[in-house]
Amino acid sequence: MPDPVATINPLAEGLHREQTAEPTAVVIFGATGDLTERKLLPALYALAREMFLPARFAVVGSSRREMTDEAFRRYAHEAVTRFGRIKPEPRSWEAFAEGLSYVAGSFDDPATFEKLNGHLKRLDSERGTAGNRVFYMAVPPSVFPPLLRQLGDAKLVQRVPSPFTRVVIEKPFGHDLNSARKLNAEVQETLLEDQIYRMDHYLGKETVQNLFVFRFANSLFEPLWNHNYVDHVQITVAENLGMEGRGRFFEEAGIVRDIIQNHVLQVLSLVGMEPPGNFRANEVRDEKVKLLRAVHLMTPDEVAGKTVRAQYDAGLAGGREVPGYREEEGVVPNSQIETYAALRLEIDNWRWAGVPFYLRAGKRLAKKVTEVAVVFRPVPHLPFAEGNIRATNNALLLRIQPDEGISLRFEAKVPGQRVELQPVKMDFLYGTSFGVAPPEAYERLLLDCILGDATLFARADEVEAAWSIVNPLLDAWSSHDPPPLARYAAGSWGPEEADRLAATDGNRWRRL
Amino acid sequence: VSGERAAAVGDLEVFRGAAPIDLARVEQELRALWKQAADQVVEGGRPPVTKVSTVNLVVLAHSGEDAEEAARAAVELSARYPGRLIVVETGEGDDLITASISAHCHLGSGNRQVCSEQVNLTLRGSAANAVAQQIAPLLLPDLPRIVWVPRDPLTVPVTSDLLTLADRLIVDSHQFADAWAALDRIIAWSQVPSAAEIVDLAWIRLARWRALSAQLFDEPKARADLENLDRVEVDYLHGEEGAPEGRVEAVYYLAWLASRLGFHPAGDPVNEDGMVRSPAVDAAGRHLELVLRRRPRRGTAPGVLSRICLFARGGETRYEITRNEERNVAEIRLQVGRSCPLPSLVDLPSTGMPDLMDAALQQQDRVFRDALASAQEWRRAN
Repeated sequence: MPDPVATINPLAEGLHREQTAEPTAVVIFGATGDLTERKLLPALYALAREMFLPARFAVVGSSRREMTDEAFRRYAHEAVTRFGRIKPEPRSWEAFAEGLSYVAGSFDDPATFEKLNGHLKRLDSERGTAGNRVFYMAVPPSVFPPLLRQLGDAKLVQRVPSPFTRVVIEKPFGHDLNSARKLNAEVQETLLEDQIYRMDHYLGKETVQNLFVFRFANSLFEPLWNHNYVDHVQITVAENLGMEGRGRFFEEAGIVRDIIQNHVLQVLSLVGMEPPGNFRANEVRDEKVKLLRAVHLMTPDEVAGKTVRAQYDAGLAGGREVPGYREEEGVVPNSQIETYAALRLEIDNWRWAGVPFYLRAGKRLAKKVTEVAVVFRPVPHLPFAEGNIRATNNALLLRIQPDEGISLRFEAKVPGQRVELQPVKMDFLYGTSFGVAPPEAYERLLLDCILGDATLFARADEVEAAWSIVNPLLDAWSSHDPPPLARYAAGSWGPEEADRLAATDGNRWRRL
Repeated sequence: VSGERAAAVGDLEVFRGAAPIDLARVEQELRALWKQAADQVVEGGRPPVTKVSTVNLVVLAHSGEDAEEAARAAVELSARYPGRLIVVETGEGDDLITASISAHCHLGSGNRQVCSEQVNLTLRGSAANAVAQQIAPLLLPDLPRIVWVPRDPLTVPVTSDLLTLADRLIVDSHQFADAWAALDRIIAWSQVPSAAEIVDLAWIRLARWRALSAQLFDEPKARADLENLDRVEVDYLHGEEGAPEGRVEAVYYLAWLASRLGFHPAGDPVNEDGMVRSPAVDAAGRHLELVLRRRPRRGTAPGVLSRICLFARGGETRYEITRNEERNVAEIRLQVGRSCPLPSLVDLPSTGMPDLMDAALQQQDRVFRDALASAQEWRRAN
């Protein structure tokens, strides 16, 4: 007979998820905020509807606003109706809503946490949530440390494995390397590292996860995945939108803090990491950290030659005229904040020595697209002597959004009497090969947190390693003598300076 | 071929080839149909058609009505698993082989029409006894070969040739006239050397009950109760004579639990008043009583099981899952001594055919094979 107290539940084998979720109460701080309304409540309902949540489950909303349990249920119903991938269906909604409740109070008032403690204990006895807690911090980053201290003082978080306590915090994890270290230290005063789930929703995207599968479940490409065969790598995260009311926030951040330090470097680490021995959280994250630590850190002198920062001017987007960044609401007229950045990184390790990694991210670019392009070296000799024949480099294109899929670009002979080459693409499209709608990133990540699987969450050393990479350029750009801030027209593919950056190696950005 | 755009309903568009066609010319005619479909789409200004092949799905049906109904379900399924659909209708009578082709496209992401192709075969007389030989040349290479028998498999020729040609055979023991015969046949198929993986939709229907049962023991404290179970009761619904009943699911449930926990039959079952009590023992000599109880189905009450109850520590602890038939939810109760928290409610939907088939196509389940082996032991004991 299998050992019943072993980690694996013998009855769970062969089920949709072999590790079923333990009874849990999820507490959302910031329960009336945008994130809760648009993402968290719809994700929790979708998990319930698709039967991933345990029967003994509860969601407690908490924020300053006074609200009854019934009002919170109505609020949640409206949120799921408006924003949910899966809309409320009466029968399953009834079962889900029964587990929703609300505790109002100020997060700087200890009485709030006493009240919450009593409420959670009642849920343990009434709904059998067994003392297991997930606290979701859907609040501004400045509130994390004091909120955590309140939780600690009220004995709501304890450094014990069972019953479990997990805390989810959202990016940004700090403003620069020093503040990230400070935040990590403050959080770790109350919690063990394995109780902290740093959410970067990019890692919850199916196509980002497919990078693991593509690289480590196929033998075809891995032998080529190194400096012997790869000429360069391009990672693009382009957005066609402008500030959309986030100007004030963006003035404090810029594209490097908002996109590159987290999303882009996460993708870079997945593209460049060594194969982990298994898919457990620490083994995967160890390899990601090793890769990030191998990135050559720019000296102040190198920043100007290896980076481009730029800001968009007025232009055309989606067929209409749009204002420049400095005309956006909440942006100061002489703002020096970058809305576009391009970086040329080098990775100092055996696999990637000498291979440039070009990273770019920007707002108000020509279209919304996220893509990784692995461009292979040219053939050493082209045996077709006729005329002026040239071959385009082979490229593997991993499209993360939209039209998620993978394409392979290679040369083919144009039909005819002469030898003429033309690049062609072989496409795999998720939308056509798998007719099933993928889960939202928040669904996957919330479920992983409830299950205690931190593989797709950032670890403290990973966050700090990523800040180490961008810190030199942030320092140089905020120095007394910063490199110039380039300009680009809204709706374009970025500034000419970025083209020149790629051209220094004889390369060019892909036209997407 | 005179291929034409035959119908467009919702996001589904159908192109039909001429019928009948010669079986030997199916590939050629399909190529011509695809070309015509692409041309017509261009002319009509509709989204481009993209032919996608991820699976060979063979539907084996007896009467024309069954075949049509199954083909409709398979076309719906092709939105998730595009590929080649071969609908085989078998019957008695003079030898006859006829074929026709069509293509159907679902509007997918990126404004593309994701398209599958369908071959309809009618096999009568001796041709009907050689299904494997007739379909073998029509299967796309390097793709999974799924054979789905939507109705009672005793009415169609599921031969050992077909079982070895296929990668997977999907049946539904609900469709068998006799539940025990279903189990016997499924066990026999699973023992054919090099046979397809057998998937029973009745087992798939149990997934929610198994998941809920597993969740009861996720807590380390509760997991210790798995070592101290005394009695397991499974109540299944029984309708009018000949109507589907939940007996196979109930047997599967007990067989699954016994196989996961290492219990085997330990004596003759006692049968009384619609209840069968079977003693079981594990390698450590622990005893467990397994109880199957038949309950009358009320009206059109959904589902097949109505209640599962696991007793541990001499009955002091009780884990109970009950289907509330009016609300179609499961009520979950845990009673430890005198403490009994309020029951939790969870959704317990009836799973529709597309979702069942979706799960059946994905199932890679050693657990089912273990449960089937265990069910065979219980079958012998009964």
